[in-house]
Amino acid sequence: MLGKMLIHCLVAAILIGSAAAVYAQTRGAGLALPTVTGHHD
Amino acid sequence: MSTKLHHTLLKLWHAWVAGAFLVAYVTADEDTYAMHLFAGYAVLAAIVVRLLVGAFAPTASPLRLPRPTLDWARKGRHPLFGWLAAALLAGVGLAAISGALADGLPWLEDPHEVIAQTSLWVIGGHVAFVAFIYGGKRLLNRIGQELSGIRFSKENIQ
Repeated sequence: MLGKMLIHCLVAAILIGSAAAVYAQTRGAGLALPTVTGHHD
Repeated sequence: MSTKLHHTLLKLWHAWVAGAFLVAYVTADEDTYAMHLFAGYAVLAAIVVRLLVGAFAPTASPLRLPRPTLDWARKGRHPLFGWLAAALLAGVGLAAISGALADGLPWLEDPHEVIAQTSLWVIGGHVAFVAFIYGGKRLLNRIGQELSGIRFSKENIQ
C-alpha cells in the first residue's frame, strides 16, 4: 500500500513537473499574459 | 457516492498535493522560479479543494476533515493519523499561502521558507509513521518471531 502511494505521488510529481516546465517555457518565451503595464515578463 | 469512490478521490488528492509539494520543493531556486510558482499554486489549489470538500463531506466519508483526538485507547485508526493529517494540512497550507503572498510581500519570503522546511519534517514524520504502521509493525513482529524461534530452538538443543 505504501509503495503504491509513493508511486502515485511520483507519477503526480512527473505530471505536475511537466506542466510546470511547460508553463516556465511559455513564460520564458514571453507567451504569458501581459502584465498590468502591458509589457510581457 | 460510495465510500470506495471517496477513498479513490482521497488517494488522487493525496497524489496531487504530495506531487505538487515535491515539485515545489525541488524547484525552490532562482533558476526554476516559474516552475516553483506553478507547483506552489497547485499545492494551494489542492489545499483549498480539500478544505471545501472536507467541509461538505458526509459524516462517515473519508473525505471529512481530520478531527484529531486525544483518546489513545479508542479502537480503530491510531490517533496520530489525525494529528499528523491536521498538522500537514495546516503546515502545507500555510507554506502555500505564504508563498503566494510573498510574490507581492517580499518580507514573507523568509517565513515561507521556514514554514516549508518545517512542513517537510512533518511530511517525513507522516511517511515514517505510515511506514511503521503498515510495514514496520509487521517487520518488528517477524523479527520478534524469528528471535523467539531462535531462542526456542536453542532451548530444544539444550
